[in-house]
Amino acid sequence: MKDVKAPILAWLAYLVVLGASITVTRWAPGTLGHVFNLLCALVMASLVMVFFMGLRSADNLLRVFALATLMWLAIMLGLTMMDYVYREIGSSAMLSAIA
Amino acid sequence: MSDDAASSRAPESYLTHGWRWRDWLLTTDHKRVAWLYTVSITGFFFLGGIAALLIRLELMTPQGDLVSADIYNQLFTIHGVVMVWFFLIPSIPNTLGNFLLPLMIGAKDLAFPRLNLLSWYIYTLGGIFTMAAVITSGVDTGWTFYTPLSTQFTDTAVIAAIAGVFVVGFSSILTGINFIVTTHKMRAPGLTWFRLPLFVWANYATSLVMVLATPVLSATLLLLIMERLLGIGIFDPRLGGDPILFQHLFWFYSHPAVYIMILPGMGVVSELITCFSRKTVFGYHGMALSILAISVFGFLVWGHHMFVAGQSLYAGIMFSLFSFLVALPSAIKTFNWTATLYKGRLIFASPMIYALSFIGLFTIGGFTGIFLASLAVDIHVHDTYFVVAHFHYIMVGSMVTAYLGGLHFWWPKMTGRLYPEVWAKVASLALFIGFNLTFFPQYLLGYAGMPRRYQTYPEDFQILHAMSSLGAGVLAIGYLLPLGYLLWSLRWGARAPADPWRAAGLEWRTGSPPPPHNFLKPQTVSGPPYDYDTLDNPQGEAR
Amino acid sequence: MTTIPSTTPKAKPDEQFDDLTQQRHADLMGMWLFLATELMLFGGVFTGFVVYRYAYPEAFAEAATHLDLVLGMLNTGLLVTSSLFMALSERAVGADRKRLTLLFLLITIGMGAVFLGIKGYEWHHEYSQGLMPILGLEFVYSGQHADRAQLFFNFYYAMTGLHAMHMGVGMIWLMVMVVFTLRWRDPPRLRRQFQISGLYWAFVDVMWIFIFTLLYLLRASS
Repeated sequence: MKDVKAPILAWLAYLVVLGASITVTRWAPGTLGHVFNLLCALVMASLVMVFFMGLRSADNLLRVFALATLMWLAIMLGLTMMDYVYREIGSSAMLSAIA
Repeated sequence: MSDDAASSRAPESYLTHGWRWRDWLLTTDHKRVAWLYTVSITGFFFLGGIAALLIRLELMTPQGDLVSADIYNQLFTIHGVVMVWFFLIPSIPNTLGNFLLPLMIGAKDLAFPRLNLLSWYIYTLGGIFTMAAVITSGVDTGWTFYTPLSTQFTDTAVIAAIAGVFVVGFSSILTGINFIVTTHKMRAPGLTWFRLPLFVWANYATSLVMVLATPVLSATLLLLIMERLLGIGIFDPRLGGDPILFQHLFWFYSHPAVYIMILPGMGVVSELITCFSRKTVFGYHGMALSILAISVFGFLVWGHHMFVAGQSLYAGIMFSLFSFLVALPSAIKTFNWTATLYKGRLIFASPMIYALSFIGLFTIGGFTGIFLASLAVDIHVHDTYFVVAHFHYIMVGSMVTAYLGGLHFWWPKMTGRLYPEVWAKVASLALFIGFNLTFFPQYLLGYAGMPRRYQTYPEDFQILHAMSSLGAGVLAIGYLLPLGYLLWSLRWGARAPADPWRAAGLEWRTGSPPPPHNFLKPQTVSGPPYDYDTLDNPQGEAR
Repeated sequence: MTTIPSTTPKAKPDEQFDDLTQQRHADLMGMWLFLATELMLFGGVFTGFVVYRYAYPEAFAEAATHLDLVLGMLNTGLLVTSSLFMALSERAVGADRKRLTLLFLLITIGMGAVFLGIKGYEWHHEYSQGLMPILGLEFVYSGQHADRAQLFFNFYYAMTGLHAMHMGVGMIWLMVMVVFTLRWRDPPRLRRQFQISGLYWAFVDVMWIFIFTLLYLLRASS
């Protein structure tokens, strides 16, 4: 069996990042902490995708597809949020309108 | 289809290859699956058409006299759900696309033939289930299932209907995956991307949209089901939820879905125009790239459905701007089709009449789309018959016309038979006239203030409504005629040669109908597509 | 794709392909595209969550403190370990080690089962605390903004439920792979199937990372 070292190292790295993320949320939550949590999630997801899903050895086309999908997710999230950053929801006016 | 007659004519074709039930229902041949789809979508089309006919009959008079208000709501829901999800979305990709994609790229089949069959089963069974639910319980939300009407107020079987649409979505997804992989991995040697027929480009772009947008619809419908079935309020204003979020997610799918419907039509028309102008298509690269551009821009514009729904003004401005952007690639395509006609040796065969109708109707539908993309104008015409007319010009005027044009063009290839050309010309003209008579008055109605989804209206509107209903009758003739003579041609039509139109493209380089694995020997490609100059002048003499 | 495994000594591609390389590339690409659709499926739900997380930051951060961080962490660790064993089983099948493949595969499935067990225990725990506003059950909440907190818990059940469903599908899939491994016919096909299954399993793990981070970690100080 070849190439077992890389996934095991990736697994260890994953656990370290997970530990760091949980430590931060336990002792220093708040906006900065949350940003750190999300960054950790990105690192963990990348570790799984690169080492367990073979994105490292995949051909370029698959990488383009993976990136494109992430971009589409960003479009959906970004343009939807364009609405919500300029609008307040859940106000009492809305509630009384349906009551 | 006459089995014995076909087999008497020597070479074996996919049609002579077994006629037991399982030869059709368990086939993995993309050409036979295409037929399964053709039968299914034709059934759904006429079902949706009956609902439309009842709607138009009701609207002959200002009062609600033919059906009750509830039934009227159910009728336009049936019409919308069937036509959008069970006819328009699968129409060209799953019939003509399924049949032609492997042929056009010189492949033996799609990359995943069993998946292709599975997707037909999902589609047909899901469709029948949805129809049963919608018709027996009378779902009355419209095809858009807006919350909180669909979650809190209606007492009809919304869950069953949504579950059906959810399931049918997987059919789209699987087809999309299949087409993308096929286009990437199965092309014949020498068939580079910029030698692909535009129909293949169009189906590829359509598949991208199917793959990226449909899952979001699935997610949205799933949340809706959870809210209604389990009481998990996601869009529930009582908990601080936002019903407009449903519209965001819904239109993130449903606007790109409009391009799922129109892009394959553009592909078909590109093939027809160039063949019957006996000229290569004008600006091939621009055509191919504008197809891709439409499919990408199509994802940035969904908010133009929500200008008056309460979304923030800044989002509205942004979505309005992006919507104007879609006009650019669409205009490129329209101009290029026109430029292809210029100085061509035009042949007015029936597929060409359909294609020319497409250009005209698409232009009108596209222009009025720009009106609707303008924030201020939209406030005036939002949810009126102006909108109804606009999207029918795109979806019926353009898409159904392209579908019928393509069906006529490739009919000899699919069946090995020729259809009666005179009747086809009559049908194509009936479609054009009937369509305009039905829907042009609706622009006027909408601009004058007639809201959509209303059963009754002021008497002033009756003349226009009556014209529209009359047009619907003519339109119905335009649909029924082809059904009749195409079926007739299956048995009594003249035998088709391999290439009846003297058309370019790999699909014409094999028998009509093609053998089971499409080509008797592997194909290679060495030149650009649509090389009609060489085709018509093999010696290379000057035109 | 699951067909009748070929018994011929020389492995042949399916009839629509020219050779095995073409088929392997096509299969892989098909699977990645399928995962792209799965990502958009989860993405729709995530978008909804982000909208509300942005609109009601305090209520959501406080509601998150009612989730069990230790169990969540345990599950995250379990799932990534199962992904590791899945990746190892792919390597084992590549090295033609049948028994090792089987062992790794069974460990993967076992860890998946423990994950679902813990998840079920968590759900039951929340149910007993009155934090399960499903099917009209009463929502008992001690903190402020009880309505917004209910929205949070609605997302919690929608997201973890969707994920658990995917875990279930993945486990059934891997059990089918156990059968294929026991039969051990046509190793090239088996390798393709393992690669595809491994992709799915790891993907479900990736989705969990984001569910865990969004729901459990973005919390207020308790």
